[in-house]
Amino acid sequence: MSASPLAGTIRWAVVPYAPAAPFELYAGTEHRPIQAPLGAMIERGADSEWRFVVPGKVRPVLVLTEPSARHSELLALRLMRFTKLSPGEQKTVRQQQDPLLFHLPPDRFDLPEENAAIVSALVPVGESAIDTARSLGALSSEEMRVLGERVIGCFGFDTRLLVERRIRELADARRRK
Amino acid sequence: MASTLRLERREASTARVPAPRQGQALAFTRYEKEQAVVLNPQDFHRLAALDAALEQDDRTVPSDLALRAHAQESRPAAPAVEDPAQIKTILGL
Repeated sequence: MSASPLAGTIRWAVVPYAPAAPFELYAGTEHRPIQAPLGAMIERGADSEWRFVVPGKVRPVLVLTEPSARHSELLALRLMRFTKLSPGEQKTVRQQQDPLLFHLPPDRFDLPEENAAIVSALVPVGESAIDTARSLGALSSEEMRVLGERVIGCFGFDTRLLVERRIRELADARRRK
Repeated sequence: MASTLRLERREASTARVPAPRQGQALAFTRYEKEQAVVLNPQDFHRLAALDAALEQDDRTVPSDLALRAHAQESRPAAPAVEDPAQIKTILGL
């Protein structure tokens, strides 16, 4: 477990892509990986553990959560480099006009180039797969609040019961005064 | 589980209906269990408006740019390096 907070920081991490068909299973050093149809794995292989051959990349990510104590996993967002955007698109993102692309000002982050966090590109990352020793910069608590709202808006999480509970707590606290 | 308030209108002449003042809620009980609560109409409509606001679907509709960014960064852009010698060279192993 790292001592300094990880949530809100940008860090290098090993991030695999989500497994996608055609699925390849590692079959030892003497064989090429074996392609496995999804249907066969569901019908006959559900009780087995496989080693999937999944492409991945070492990339900077924006860490959203501290690692859970039990699983040592955390949630992060993939970043998008500005060189992949047109000048007009860059301007839109810099002005925070696209709610699903959170701009990361280049003067505050030690990244090879200007980036934005892709709010919809949520990935689980193992704690051992992240550079806990070095942060490339951090968002403020206010920025994290804005980002949290955008993540909820992106995935459509229903926060109604949470909001209702908070309203009741506030009303109770006000009544007690 | 929360559910949205739905108003059903009935003529007042069909029952003996009390008229609570604003800010007052009258709870009718049967064997000490609340059976119905009568509110002042203004209070009811205020609560219904709050309820509707909470119910509102706030899901963000992704722009074409956001969709493209997600697609680009969620799939490999180049073939994976698989040659053992090349892997060792890149990583200085």
